[in-house]
Amino acid sequence: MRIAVLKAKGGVGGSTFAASIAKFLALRGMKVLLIDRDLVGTISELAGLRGNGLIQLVKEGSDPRGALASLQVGRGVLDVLKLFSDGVPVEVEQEDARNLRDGLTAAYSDLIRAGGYDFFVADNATAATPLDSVSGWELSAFSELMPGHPRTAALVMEPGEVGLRATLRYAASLRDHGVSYFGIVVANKVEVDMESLRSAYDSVNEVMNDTGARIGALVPFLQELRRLPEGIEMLHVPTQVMEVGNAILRYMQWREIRLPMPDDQFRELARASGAARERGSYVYTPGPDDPLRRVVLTLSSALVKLQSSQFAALVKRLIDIVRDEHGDEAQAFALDPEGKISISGVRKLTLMPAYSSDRLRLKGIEDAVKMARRLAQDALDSSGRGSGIPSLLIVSSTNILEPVSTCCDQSLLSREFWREFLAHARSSDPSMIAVLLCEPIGDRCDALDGLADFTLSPQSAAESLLSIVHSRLP
Amino acid sequence: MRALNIAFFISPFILAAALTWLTLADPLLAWLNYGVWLTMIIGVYSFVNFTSTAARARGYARSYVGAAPDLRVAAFVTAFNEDPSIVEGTLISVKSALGAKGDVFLLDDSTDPGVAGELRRFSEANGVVYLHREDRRGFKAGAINDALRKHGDRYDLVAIFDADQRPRAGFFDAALPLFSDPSVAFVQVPQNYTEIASPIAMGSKYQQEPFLRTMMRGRSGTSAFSLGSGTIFRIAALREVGLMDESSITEDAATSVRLHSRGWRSIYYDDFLVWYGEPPRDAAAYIQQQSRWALGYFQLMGGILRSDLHFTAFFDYVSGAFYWLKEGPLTLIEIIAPIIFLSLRQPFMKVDPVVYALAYFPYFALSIGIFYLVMRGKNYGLKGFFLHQSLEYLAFTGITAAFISYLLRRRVPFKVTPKGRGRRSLRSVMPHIIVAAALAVSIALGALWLMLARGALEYAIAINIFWAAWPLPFLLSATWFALRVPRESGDSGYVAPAPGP
Repeated sequence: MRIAVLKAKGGVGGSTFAASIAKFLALRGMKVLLIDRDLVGTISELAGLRGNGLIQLVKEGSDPRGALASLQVGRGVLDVLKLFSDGVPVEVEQEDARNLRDGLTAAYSDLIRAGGYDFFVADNATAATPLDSVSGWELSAFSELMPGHPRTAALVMEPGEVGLRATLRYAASLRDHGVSYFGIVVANKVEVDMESLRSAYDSVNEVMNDTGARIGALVPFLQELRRLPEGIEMLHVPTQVMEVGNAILRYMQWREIRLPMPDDQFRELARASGAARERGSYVYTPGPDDPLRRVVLTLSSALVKLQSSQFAALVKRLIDIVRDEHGDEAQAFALDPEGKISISGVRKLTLMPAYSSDRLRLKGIEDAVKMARRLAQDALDSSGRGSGIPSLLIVSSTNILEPVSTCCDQSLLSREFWREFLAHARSSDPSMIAVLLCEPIGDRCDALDGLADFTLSPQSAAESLLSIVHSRLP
Repeated sequence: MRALNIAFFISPFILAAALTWLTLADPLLAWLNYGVWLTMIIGVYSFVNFTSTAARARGYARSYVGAAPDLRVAAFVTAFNEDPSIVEGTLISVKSALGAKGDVFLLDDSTDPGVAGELRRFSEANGVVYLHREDRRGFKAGAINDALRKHGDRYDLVAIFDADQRPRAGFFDAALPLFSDPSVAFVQVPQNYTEIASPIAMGSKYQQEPFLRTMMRGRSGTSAFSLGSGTIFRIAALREVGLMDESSITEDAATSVRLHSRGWRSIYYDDFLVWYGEPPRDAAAYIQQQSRWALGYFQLMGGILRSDLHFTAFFDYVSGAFYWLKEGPLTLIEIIAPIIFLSLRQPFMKVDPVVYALAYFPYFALSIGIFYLVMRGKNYGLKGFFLHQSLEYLAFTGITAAFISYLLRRRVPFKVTPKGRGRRSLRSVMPHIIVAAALAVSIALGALWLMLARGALEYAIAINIFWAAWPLPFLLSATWFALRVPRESGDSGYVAPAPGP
């Protein structure tokens, strides 16, 4: 799938959206090529690419791979291709692109063939059109190389009347030049009060109606994105961008967009604003469960520190989110020796007596690590589900499960045990979302800090809304 | 496969015959020569099987996690005139372990109206389905089959417990997940002898250790067979083989063979999940139990030979028969041979004693060494080895009798091993005392002969003295155990409760 990221106006967060959706797709195990067609070169800068881009490298007869940066992101790969060079006037580059068309196409084809990419994300200059010689060349070279490759375009805008009008005009002019495959409309920097959300929703909905796009997203104004980080590794991917990426992944898998049920809060909104859903489209909006959504969307592991009385409610929310984002085939399994989560929709995994006796019999950390590996493997095996469908593995009562021994420091033992458990679960089934539920009173939660991809806890004991305390994914 | 299996089964007998022909010293003692060769060869076959199962047992790993499939269980407790207090304790344990996963049935074949009446009252009061039969057709297997025909349709699995085997609370939680594999026909959880009231009972526990901790573990997945109690069967699998085999007195093993030859698998789940078990307390009871097991196994041989078992499973099953052969008639031969040689000064085998010693003793030491290594760390130790051997020598009379009954095609009546009675029985160890005395005399005579003998004969006498001396401590300690059975505490006598108002 090729996603062209387009914007009518500068500074609306188009490059940020391109980089963050590419990063999310890579996090989910995809090989992604992010093509920086923007002469500002924000993305190339984020990827650490400086100096000459592809056009000048071909002109000089240098190795075109100098315009490529490769990053390992999660289980996937994110490659960035820089087209424009630093310090070369754009008019020169455009002239070069016209003159070197065949050489450029050959170099470009080699790079794409060697990469074996699943996704292509093309970032563009403000109000770019196919008339521009560089963009036009790249698009036609791509079409020749990958005929029939599915493609979509994402329109990025800011909420407000000015942004809306500019975007509508831009979309109309793009249609005039043959670009009509709009799939995604994103409004960035949305204030989260209800009034602003409603107005942003209406704007996005209007652009979706106009362009036929079926996925919309309202990305809130985020502190993390006020200033761009130094590298893509540190770039924060907003939850709604993850949801857009997830919708695309599901589309790739099922060839249809499976739309989630709107949140209660937005059901009313959706109805009021022309019932987007009835046309088979959906707008992703910020919500209170975003931290859990991030865990589910990135298929990560999480440690949730929570009172056990809130376990069942949390698990229910988690299951709803998993079904929402990954479809009803997603299942939930619980390793719950004390029966703290007995709700429907969760398949209980029984802890066998062999484990209970081995748990007290270990001689050292190595034994604990071996046990953790076996426990994780046996839990995955006995879930007996088809591979590839994201599912939840919930583990409650971490202190009842972890081994006990006088051999070594118990905190160290717990830590090594759960580290191996999560690592093994992750590596043998990347689509299983492992969630450890830990009770701050009673369980040794602090020993487990930082082991999972996300550590979540309520801001105060009375509250049930979770916030992210620690995350290994920015 | 069947031809290969049969050829394998008869190979030790043919090999022994060939060696007898080559080493025959006295045609009148050809049977003894043949017996001694057969003992050695069967010993080697058993050793190979033990080593191979022990190697398989090393890879034995029980799953840490399971997901219980949604299956309904009928739990059958079988009873025949046992003390109702024991049966009632079992029923309560089964009921609480089973919970909402199914129903508990008491299959009562008791002929004592007092016992039957009490058990019926208890069952009705505690939500246990009480089934009583007047005709005891097919004995335990018949009772199970009758109950399955009547009630089996409503359940997916049937769990079978003897009246004195009580499952722990986690029994079904541990066993049911194993049925998520559709090729599993049954799961066997080992019994656990907890009521150790006498040295015989203690020895009985140790005697089971190599079998339960090594052999059955090694056989899990291929040829682990049902032990009659603590087994959960998939009813569909039982139906496929025509329910429990009523023709054998060890219906559990016979049914297992049928299931295994149909390609079903069985899992042995070795954990402490049965918390009550009474081993035989006195010599008579122990000998009777072993005799019954041996006869059942001998009766099974026809079925094993006719079966379509895979070679590994076949070897395991045949080794069981070899074991009983070795512990019964061949033990007798092993004892008689040095007695005849030393007291009658009658050689029955032409073998260079030095060659024999150099070939056989290292093997003998190796087999004991490997056995020790395998059992190390399993709470077995030297004491276990000694008790185990003593009890095997104690049972040789009963097992030999079972072998003769089998040859005569006799069906000894089905008897439940008497429990909790515990009495001294000089009669049951009389043969052992006689044999021990004969061995002692032979050793003395052999010692005298050794002083006169020269050359190769010297070695032959020494070897025979060794073989006469080897069983002596075990026979003597077996006799000793048999004669000191502690008196019963007297609290478990059955008192019929007064009829209610």
